[in-house]
Amino acid sequence: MVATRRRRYNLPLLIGGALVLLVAATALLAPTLAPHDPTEVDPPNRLLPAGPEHPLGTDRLGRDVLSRILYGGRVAVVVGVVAVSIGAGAGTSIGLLSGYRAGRVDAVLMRIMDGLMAFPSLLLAILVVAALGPGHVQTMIAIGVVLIPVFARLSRAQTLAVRGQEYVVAARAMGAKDILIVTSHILPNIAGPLLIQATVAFSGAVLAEAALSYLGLGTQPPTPSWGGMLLEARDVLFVRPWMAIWPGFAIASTVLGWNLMGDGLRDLLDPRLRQGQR
Amino acid sequence: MKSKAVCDLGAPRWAGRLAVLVLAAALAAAGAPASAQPPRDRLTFALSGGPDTLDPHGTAATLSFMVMKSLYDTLVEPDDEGKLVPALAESWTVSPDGITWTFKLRSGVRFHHGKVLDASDVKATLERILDPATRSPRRLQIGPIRAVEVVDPLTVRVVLAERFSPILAALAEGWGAILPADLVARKHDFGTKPVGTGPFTLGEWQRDSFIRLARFDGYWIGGQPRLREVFIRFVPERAVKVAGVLSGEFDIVDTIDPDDLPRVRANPDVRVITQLTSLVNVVAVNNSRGPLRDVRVRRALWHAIDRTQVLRTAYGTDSRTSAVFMDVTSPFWVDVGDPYPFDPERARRLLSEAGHGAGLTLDLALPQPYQMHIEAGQLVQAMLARVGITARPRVVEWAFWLSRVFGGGEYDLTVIGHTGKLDPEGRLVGWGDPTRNYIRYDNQKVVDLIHAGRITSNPDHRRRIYAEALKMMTEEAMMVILGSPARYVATRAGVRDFRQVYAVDTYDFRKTTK
Amino acid sequence: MPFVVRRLLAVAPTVLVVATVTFFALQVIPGDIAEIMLGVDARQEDLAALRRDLGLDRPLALRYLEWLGHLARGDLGMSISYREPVARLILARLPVTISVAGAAMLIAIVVALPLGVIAARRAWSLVDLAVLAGSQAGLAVPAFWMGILLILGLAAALPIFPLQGYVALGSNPIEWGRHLFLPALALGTERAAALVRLSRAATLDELHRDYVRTARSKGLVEAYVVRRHVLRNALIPVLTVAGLQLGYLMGGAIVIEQVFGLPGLGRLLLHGIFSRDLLIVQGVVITIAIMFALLNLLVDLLYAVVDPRITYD
Repeated sequence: MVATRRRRYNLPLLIGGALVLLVAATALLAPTLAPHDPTEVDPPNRLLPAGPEHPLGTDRLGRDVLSRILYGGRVAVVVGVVAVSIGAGAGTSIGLLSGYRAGRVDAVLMRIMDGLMAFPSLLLAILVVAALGPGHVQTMIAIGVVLIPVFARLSRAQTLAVRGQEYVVAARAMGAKDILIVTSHILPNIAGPLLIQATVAFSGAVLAEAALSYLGLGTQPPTPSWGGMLLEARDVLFVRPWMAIWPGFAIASTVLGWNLMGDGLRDLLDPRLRQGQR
Repeated sequence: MKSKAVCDLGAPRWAGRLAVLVLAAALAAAGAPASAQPPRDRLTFALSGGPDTLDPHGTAATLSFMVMKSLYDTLVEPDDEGKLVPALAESWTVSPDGITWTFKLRSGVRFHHGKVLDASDVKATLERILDPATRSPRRLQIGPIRAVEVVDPLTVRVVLAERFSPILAALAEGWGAILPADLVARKHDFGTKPVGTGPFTLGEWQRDSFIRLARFDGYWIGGQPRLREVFIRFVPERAVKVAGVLSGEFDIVDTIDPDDLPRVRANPDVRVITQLTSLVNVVAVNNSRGPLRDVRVRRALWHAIDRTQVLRTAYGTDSRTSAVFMDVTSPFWVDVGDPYPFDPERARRLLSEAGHGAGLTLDLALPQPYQMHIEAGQLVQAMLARVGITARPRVVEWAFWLSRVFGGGEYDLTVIGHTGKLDPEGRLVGWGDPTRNYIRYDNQKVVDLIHAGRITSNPDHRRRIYAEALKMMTEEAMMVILGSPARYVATRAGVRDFRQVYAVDTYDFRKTTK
Repeated sequence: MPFVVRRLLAVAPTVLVVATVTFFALQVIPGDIAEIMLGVDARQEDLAALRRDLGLDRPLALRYLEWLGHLARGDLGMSISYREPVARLILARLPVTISVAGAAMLIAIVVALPLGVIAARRAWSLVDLAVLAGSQAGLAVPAFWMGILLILGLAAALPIFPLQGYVALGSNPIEWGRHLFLPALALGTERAAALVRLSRAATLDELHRDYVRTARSKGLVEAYVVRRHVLRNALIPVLTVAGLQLGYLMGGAIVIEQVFGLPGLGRLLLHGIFSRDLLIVQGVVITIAIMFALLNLLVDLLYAVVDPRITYD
């Protein structure tokens, strides 16, 4: 294996963690930080340039752009948490069952996962949203569904790897219940890679939500969402270019933070896995 | 130079070559002249979207008819005042009982494939629309036609099953386009290979991208069209349209954003044409829902909403407020002044009279992707909040809106624009009958008046009848009517005689020059 | 059975399941095409007549079986709104989407491969750190936002690139490239960022293998070693991932087409969804699923070509 120079500090983890904390904090503290109500319209003061009253200006309805970006962070964080929970929860359960039981259950479950992976993930998300109808909750479900096979495959592979380990065999020989073996012996041993996958999935979820909202299928106004703000900015692209820049900047910072944290965790938890695979 | 460095550092040689190749291609592309100045008889028009089909009997989409206006002709057509004037039909008469309509056709009119227009084409066309196999969305709107008879090669008689005054207007709409009988008989695919009598023929069509129309030299109006080619590009992005007309890439762009007007007006090479549309935008109110059944509550909504501000902010400053359900430009419009002026205090009073002094919560459905309606809805929400009405906005996809809100009546309030029709019948049919209009407005007198309008042929009498119906609807505050929005079209300064037929919401390039 | 045939056969059931699920899932969403075609001011009698004319009033199971029967004969049906065969609509758009995805991948490989090798050769130098930081930034930027930035920064400022639109390769190759460059760049940046990390890691892996040390100790010129051995082996994972990502780029192209107004499969799909022209949606879904599967197969085959140790039977 590659022996790269060991760094004294896990820089990606530090920077990534800091960014993630920053985004989480602004999302959490949005009500105190935001200078205005993000949905309060003020037609006479529409499309104002940046100024002391509105640090990032106002949009077409006179709403404060900065406040909307801060509140948009909440949407991003909620979508990320819920979607990853759905994907990781369902996916890991399927993967554990599939890997532990093997045989026919495994074959059927993996067949279904193959079916889900037969599409580019964004297309799958679009289809799920099309079937459920556009909206905030639907978007989270759609992204969660897309994440299921990712977690299922990973946890299945990991389960297969630890299934034959002595402690599992020993527990089984001692007559431990399957559910107990899975939860107390297998799951803790495969948690590391799953955690890394979850951070990467989180940034993917944020990106997917932005893309769906940009297509008009995701979070709907007046709820502020970064992708939706980019959609709204399209009509005034050359009049107020900054309206199309700040939300994108927010998306990029959030994704960067989670990606870096994922890389850092990978270095920390699993030195065998070199960074770079994505 | 960059690729050399890469090679020295040990990258594979082919990668370096590839890099050079791509770079060269990019530079070649970049160095290419940004499309030379197009000739003067070729006009580029940016339209917000493309047609779904070029078969006039296969669609009800405005965008399709905007293109088809140049490919086909109708028996009669609206002039700038919305009056119906001769087109393929030179003249027409109607029997005293209003049942038989006789059209005298213009002689010497040719179709694109050479056939000369005669009465059999009109017969074949009307029968094609009425044939269920054609699957025309407008099959029933063409009217209660019982028979179409060829009297002589240039005379055709349309016999109705009952009196139906709007028939002439129906024949002037885009879906009344006349097709050649020989191709109709052969089940020709008009959808992608249109053949009509129109001023242009189809050159090339790439869906979602562009359509090229070429001059038809045998057009029946001598000297028209003046342009050799109309190049229609489908550009949904308003920002791109504005940038294109400013740079000269486009000669004409339809619907530019009001927010872009200062920039566009500042450019001396570009002209802005402001026109009122035939739309009527409304805050629709579901008359069958709880508190909204009470006329006092509905009137309170009018008083609570600053209609002029909503209209001007969301749809452009040149929009015209109206208090009746008819477009301001229509000859059937009546001026009733401002019966429910903006007055939040009065709104609050009416609400507490109706027993809702403590507040009221209403659902507000807004159709995606109609950004302007969504914006208008958010303004309405803020205004209602000031009189104690909590409107909960719910943005729904268009298909959902049509199905559940418009079709199913599952809403309290919604914001929408009603498209114009040549004849008031098209706009008003169904109003007053709660099972046939989406706001569940119930008034038998209105139903009777609209029916009377349908079977009356004297224009003055019709006007009076419809005026009475419109006043009655406003009197009962059936919904909050905002007015007619303005539309801004920009052209390069050299473009002349570009005609907008607002009455049927289409564009006419026959006399256009640049 | 030969490997390729087996793989192709394995695709069929997946596609069928997906097509069936799509068919029924889309039936339950509110709104039908008759309502969309007639729009506001639709009268009930018009709606009823149109539904009957279009056959929308027939039982769902019947329509499903009918569609399946057509599908078995390779017929994707007729689009109701466009009044054209779905297969023809798809064929007209396929070149656009493939052009965008292919050009994006080309840009990604051309940028990522050399950069990755340079970075690996100077691991943890300033150059390497800059490349790593750049790739992190590239990964974080959504492709559609990149597209907006390119429109704002490049297309609007320079008249070189058009703001939007598409010209077919057949009608004018130069215009084709001009219209394709920005969308491909927007889409390719993100992929380049992912590939650069991969090619760096793969090269690093190879550089530390014994044969490289041996070759070095024998005094072979280093550049020669790198080119001859290291790259060949490092290429395998890069190509594999690049091939797999080509499939994902088709997904990304859906959004980019929207940003740059390209008449590709994505626009067609969204039209199908929004106007409830369900045969279009099903046709596009099946087409993409098949292409995705074929791409994966191609990657596997390519893998065997690059690495002789791998065989399929």
